[in-house]
Amino acid sequence: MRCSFNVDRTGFPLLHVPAAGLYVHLLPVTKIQFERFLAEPNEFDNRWYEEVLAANPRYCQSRAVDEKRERLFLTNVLPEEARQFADWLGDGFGLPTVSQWRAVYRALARIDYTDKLLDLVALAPAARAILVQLVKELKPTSLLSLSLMVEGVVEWVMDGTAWVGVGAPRASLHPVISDPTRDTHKPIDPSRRLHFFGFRLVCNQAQS
Amino acid sequence: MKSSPPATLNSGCFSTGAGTGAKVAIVLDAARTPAPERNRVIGLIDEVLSRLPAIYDREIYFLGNPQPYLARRFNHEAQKWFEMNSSRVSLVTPVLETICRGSPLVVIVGAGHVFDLADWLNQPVARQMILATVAEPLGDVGTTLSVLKQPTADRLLEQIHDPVQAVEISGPDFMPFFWDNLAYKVEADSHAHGFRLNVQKAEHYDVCFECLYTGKSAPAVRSTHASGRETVPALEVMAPASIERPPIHRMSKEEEVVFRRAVDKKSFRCLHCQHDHCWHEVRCLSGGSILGKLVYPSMERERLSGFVLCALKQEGAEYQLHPVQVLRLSQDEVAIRQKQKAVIYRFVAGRGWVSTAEAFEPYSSLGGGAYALLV
Repeated sequence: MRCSFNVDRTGFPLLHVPAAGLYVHLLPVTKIQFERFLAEPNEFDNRWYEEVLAANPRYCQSRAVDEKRERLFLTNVLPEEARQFADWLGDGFGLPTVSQWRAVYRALARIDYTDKLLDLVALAPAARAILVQLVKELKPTSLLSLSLMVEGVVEWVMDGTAWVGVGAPRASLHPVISDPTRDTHKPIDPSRRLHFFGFRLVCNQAQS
Repeated sequence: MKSSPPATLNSGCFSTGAGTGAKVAIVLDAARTPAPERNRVIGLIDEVLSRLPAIYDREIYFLGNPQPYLARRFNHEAQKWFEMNSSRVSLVTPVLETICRGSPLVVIVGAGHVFDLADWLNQPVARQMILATVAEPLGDVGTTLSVLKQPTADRLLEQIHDPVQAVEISGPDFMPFFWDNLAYKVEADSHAHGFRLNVQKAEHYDVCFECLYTGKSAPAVRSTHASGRETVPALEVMAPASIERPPIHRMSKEEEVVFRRAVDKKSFRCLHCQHDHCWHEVRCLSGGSILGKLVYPSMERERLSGFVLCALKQEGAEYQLHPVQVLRLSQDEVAIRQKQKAVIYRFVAGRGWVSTAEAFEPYSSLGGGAYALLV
């Protein structure tokens, strides 16, 4: 099975997964990516970002290695905030549904990892540095293992009309065993921030 | 003469704004500077801007905003700018990504945590960063940078106005063979088996140069400032054709005759004394002058000194001054002018640039119909 690579407006990698009929972020959205959005005039200010970072502090990429890997990714955010980021990224971007997320999961498991990803000219330097680091740590054989849909964060997805999470984070982030192909994390209060909840976006429009 | 250097020698053309310090970007944190403190910060920056010497190009930025603001409007507009940027997030990346290419001195006068400052501490720009806070700590600044706390204008100015006093360009087996800032001089660098380009207390330090070197890394530049601080300015790759060179002049028909006979190693009739000279004689000593006159009257009129490149073209013979001490003769040979003579150096892999016993001869061929003289 094949897929093609592209980048979003922050220079972070997108995959076109024909089997799922979507473009999807290769990785959960990182803090560096989100900061591109924060740098635009909007309602998100220092106080908001400090609240978000309180539960999952920001490390620079060279420090966020191995057991601190999750520090790279934006967590502790609410679905509505993720949606605003999606709107800023462009037309067609949004949070996936459970079935979309799992379709991507199954598709990525069947795609071998290739270094060609690192040849993407339009990759932001920060994205390239993170990918090089992850490839070194994870030694991925498939795109699934690089994508951190397992051993990443729990990711916001829409299940019907409710926001739930899917993913199988490491115990150091959230000590719950789950099978992302079957289980979901149902937060008691979706308006409450959770330090292990992040997100990745999908896009149903072609990327140039 | 554009043959490729030996496999281990690289040929490169670079430029450096080694006298950096002439561009200053002052970055403020409108979001974290408490309103009661704003007037004090505005007064501080206004004083720094007014006392900074006129040679400095200066711009104002606010964290989270890549747009520069005019420093000359700071006094009138600062309050408004603070207000406009007060809800920006304290991120330095939007600013540094915009200004980095110009290699300025970056003065961050913050008031609290800068979320992404740590991302830049291992980047070249960190060597040209001055950090200060008027309130809370800036966050992780690593171990090599210090933060001025509640600085006065004097203290900031001491840090900013620290002009370059000397620049050195060097590297493994480094051999420059053209540069456009004649204040730079070449000298042997025994540690690197090559030479280095040096300048001290010059009017300006920017330079474009062509060179040979070994290894994967480009040559290194080091600027030393008045305080003793050393910085490493950026080196940019450029095309050799973009370096400004001295003008090319046409020889007269009579001079062309002299030139053609000389390159064929035939004697020629001197245009000054009308007697025959041996082909290698570059000066006519008749007329009582100790130094004599150059056998090419047009070069004599221009009082040329040093290497001169001559070439036979379809339209006639031309000459051009080569104003620096080093002349590249071939892919692995150079001649280095030492007073009235030139020593030929040859690159030997593993040993670097080795001086030979060979004398630089007049009309040394450079290939492609070009020849070199030392006058």
